[in-house]
Amino acid sequence: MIRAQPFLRRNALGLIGLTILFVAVACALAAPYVAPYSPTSISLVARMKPPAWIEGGSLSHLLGTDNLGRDILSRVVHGARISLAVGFAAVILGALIGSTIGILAGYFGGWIDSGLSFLIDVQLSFPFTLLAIFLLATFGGGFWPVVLVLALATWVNYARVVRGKVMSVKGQDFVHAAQTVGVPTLGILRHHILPNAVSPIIVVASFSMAQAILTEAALSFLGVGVDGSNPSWGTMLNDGRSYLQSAWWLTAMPGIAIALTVLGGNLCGDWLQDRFDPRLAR
Amino acid sequence: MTQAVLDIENLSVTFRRGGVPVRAVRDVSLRMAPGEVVGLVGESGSGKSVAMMSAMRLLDEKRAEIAAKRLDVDGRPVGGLGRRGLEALRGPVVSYIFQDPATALNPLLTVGWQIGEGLRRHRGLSREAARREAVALLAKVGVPAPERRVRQFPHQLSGGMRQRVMIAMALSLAPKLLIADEPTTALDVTVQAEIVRLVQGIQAAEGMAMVWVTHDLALLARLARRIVVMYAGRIVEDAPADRLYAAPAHPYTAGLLASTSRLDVAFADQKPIPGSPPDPALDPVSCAFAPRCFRASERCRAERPELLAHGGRRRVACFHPLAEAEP
Repeated sequence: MIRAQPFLRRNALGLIGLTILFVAVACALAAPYVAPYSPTSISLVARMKPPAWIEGGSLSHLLGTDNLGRDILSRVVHGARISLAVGFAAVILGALIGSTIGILAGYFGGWIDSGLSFLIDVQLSFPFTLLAIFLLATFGGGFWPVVLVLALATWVNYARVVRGKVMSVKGQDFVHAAQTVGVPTLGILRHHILPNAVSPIIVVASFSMAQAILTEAALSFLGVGVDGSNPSWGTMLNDGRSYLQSAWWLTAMPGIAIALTVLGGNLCGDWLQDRFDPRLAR
Repeated sequence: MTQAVLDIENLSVTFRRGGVPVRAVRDVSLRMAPGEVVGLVGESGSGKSVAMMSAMRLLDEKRAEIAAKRLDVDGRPVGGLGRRGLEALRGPVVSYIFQDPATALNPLLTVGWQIGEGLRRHRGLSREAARREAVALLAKVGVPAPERRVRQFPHQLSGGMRQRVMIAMALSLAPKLLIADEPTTALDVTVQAEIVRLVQGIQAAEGMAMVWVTHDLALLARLARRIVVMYAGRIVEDAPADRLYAAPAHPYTAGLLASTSRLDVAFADQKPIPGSPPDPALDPVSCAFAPRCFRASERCRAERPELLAHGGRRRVACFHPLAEAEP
């Protein structure tokens, strides 16, 4: 018991973040079982019901209903599927692209590094949202296009962090030592460089997850995101926009879901950063 | 004539750092017969490690410029080797023991994995076979309970154990030339003697050639038959160990011997060499040691002495050698 408390206190924020993400993932995975209604079933008799704790609301629709009488709770729960799937896919793709580029730039240096660093700088100087809207509006939205665009937005984060880490790792003696027994470059990269660069990748992935979910919501809100019959949090915001004055819960509920998930990702990121690099800890 | 295991002629290594070139190694020539043990001595920055690393092409060649009339390891010109040629050279022909085993082992891989890495690569051993071989190698370098140790990570081992692991790794492919770069400097004094004895025993048993790089002349007394002294990037003396200890020819060697800690000489009687080594960015035409030398003449300050034969089997770069040339 004496040791349990410092552990909890030290890791409180991280545990909160993890819990939030866990709940979000659980909702996404078990959406049909958690949600009381189908997210698309329309009920014209139960339109614009406010949340249960407000005058006129009922317990049958805890978070109220929208302009077509669809249950908001069910839509938020189902919306987690799209948002999180987009987030995870974008993180994995972005991490793959970014880490590869970061490792190549950091390890080989020279003109490879100059070229790739230039690419990173170009990417960073682009107004990204504008580019994303342009690309999606031109080539059409949908799940994979959005994931691709988000990966394009986040790979720089990985590339920069990994490049720096690799540059510090490659100068260490154990890399030379592996070279002295004739380990080929690919083996050096895979077994000696990459494993030592994993911790910053995980930290960035955690932050990028939050960033991707937020950007996906923004894109969907602007009408260039993941379309289709299944709601994402961003499309719900967009749908509820016209009713901001009369029915705030249409936008507030998905908004809260986005805010919480992003908070969860960022808390996890902070926590992991502190764990992996205690020198940065406050 | 037998094939030299290491044949360096006129090797120079220059580091370019922001425009000012730093000549770390200048005009070094060294030939080693198979099975020969050479002690390479010098102060920090004398170029001894850099010279050895360039023989393995371990330097970052974006910064280091290597020039040599000849740079052969086991008859292969190292300078012209590509990536694959270097991979084939490193391990079975020449390998390297680093100074600090704490940084020379990957903290994320088991020691068995790291010892077996070269074996899998060069001999095509399976993971299991490489692991068994790693156990045998650990036993050979005197690690107790090798079956257990092989699965452990570097942080679970003591400094001495880690250096034994490093040695096992370097020996894994039975190299013809082993370069030991101050392998005992980072260790406790009590462990140092064990490591020296271990490497000495293995060298005697396997008969590979060895370069032991150090700044400790006293240590080399029991290790090397031949000692090469470097100063400011150049070889200043190259002599059989017994002659060098009995009668050093170069004043710098004499100074090194006089400043070495000895039990039979009171601390107050030890004489450090006055002054400090020259700035490696300078390129004097004089003898680099002249400003610190008690025998220096006008000639030493105007002209550089070449490394010339001084009797049989000895080379000295000095106009006023201390010892007479012996046959």
